[in-house]
Amino acid sequence: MTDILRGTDNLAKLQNAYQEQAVQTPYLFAAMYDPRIANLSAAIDCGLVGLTEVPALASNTFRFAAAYVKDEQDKIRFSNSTTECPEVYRKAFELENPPYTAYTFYIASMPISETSLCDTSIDPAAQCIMQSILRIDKPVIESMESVPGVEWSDVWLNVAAIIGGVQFFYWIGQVLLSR
Amino acid sequence: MGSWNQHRNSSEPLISTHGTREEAHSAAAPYNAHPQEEHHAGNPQDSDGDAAETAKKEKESRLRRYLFGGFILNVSLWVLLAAESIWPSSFKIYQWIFLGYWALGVAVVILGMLVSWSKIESKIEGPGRLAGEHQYSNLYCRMCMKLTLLVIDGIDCGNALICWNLTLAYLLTGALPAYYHHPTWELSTQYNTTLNAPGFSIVGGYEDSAMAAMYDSNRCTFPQYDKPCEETTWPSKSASFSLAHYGPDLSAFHLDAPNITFDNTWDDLVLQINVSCKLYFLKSFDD
Repeated sequence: MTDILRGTDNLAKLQNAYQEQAVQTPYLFAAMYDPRIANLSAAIDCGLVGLTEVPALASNTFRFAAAYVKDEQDKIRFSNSTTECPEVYRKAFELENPPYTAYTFYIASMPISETSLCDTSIDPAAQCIMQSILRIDKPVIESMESVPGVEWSDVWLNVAAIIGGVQFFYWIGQVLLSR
Repeated sequence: MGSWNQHRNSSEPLISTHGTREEAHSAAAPYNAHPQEEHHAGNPQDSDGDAAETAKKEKESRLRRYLFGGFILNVSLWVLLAAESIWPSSFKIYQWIFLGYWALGVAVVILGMLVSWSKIESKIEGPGRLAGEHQYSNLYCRMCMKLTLLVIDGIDCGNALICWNLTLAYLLTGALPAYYHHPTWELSTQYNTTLNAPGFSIVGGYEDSAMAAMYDSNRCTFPQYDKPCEETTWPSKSASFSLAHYGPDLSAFHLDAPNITFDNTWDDLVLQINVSCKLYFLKSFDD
């Protein structure tokens, strides 16, 4: 469909286009996640793990990158909810060694050129292979961790700065008064 | 030092070979005598003038010490500023400045305590207390003074009170609320060539023809080769790919690979599943 649809006049035309019968490659969903998640179904329902469509009759290369997320300080807030989602997230972000690992990935697909060879309506014994290749995209792990708003080293440094500042201005006062 | 040089420049020797030691001492008296000794020796008017002159000298001497300290401090600050501009650090420069000044005070106080701890003690508790002793009569002030003397060179009750109050105010209103109630995100990046295999699932509806066909069999191989182009040296690890059902509409193949790690960017985890489909759309399109 090469028409550029503009305005409300073309809305009906767009809806009709979606209702047309068209060739569509069979697809499945792929999910990549931290294997320590106990309840994958709940994690998918809560959006912690996403599903991505991939062609079923193809060789798909997944280039993935990992990111650590740790939230011991409860930085992530949830609105009042009666679902189990807050607990699902909380349990995930409390994992340690390593922290909860979130994956992002890119897909490159090489579809089977002759899909009729996989069509059981033509040959009941037809069979093809869906291949998934997992490969690291980059050997770099980004880490995001909630930490207290100030480190103790900074606290002591600020205390020292306060005391030093008082002494400094006290010294200036003494110099001025001694004249 | 000054009196020694003055005497050496005069025509008379420091100790006369013809006189007694007392004579020599009296000859050197104008240069070395203590103000209290002069007070007893001279008349009241002269002693008042000498006392004023001594006080003036002490004031000048104190001012010189302050100016010298200021000079050292000023040079130190410029050195810190230069170091900060060359090697930027995560600390704020004002913190370095005041911390440097504080550390200087600590060093001075520790040195002073090592040399004359008893003098400092007598300044607080001894019978010969200096002017302003009434400041230390309060127990709270005395405690503040005791603590402050350990770390800073500011022997003054008001000074110590300001320090402790500002510190407590900062801890109670700034540091502790920030530590406990205002967490923040810390982002970092680490280079790591070893990564555990992720959980991986192929998910489909239970009634999907492709999914149904995949129930038949599955194969998993994990070739790890030392060099990217040598295809002949592909040892394989085994990994299972199990099927699970989540309700009536969702099924999934899960990769169970807890012990598989990716050691290099060219490590491949290859999963192969037999799949076949009834391509209704293709058929109808051909018709």
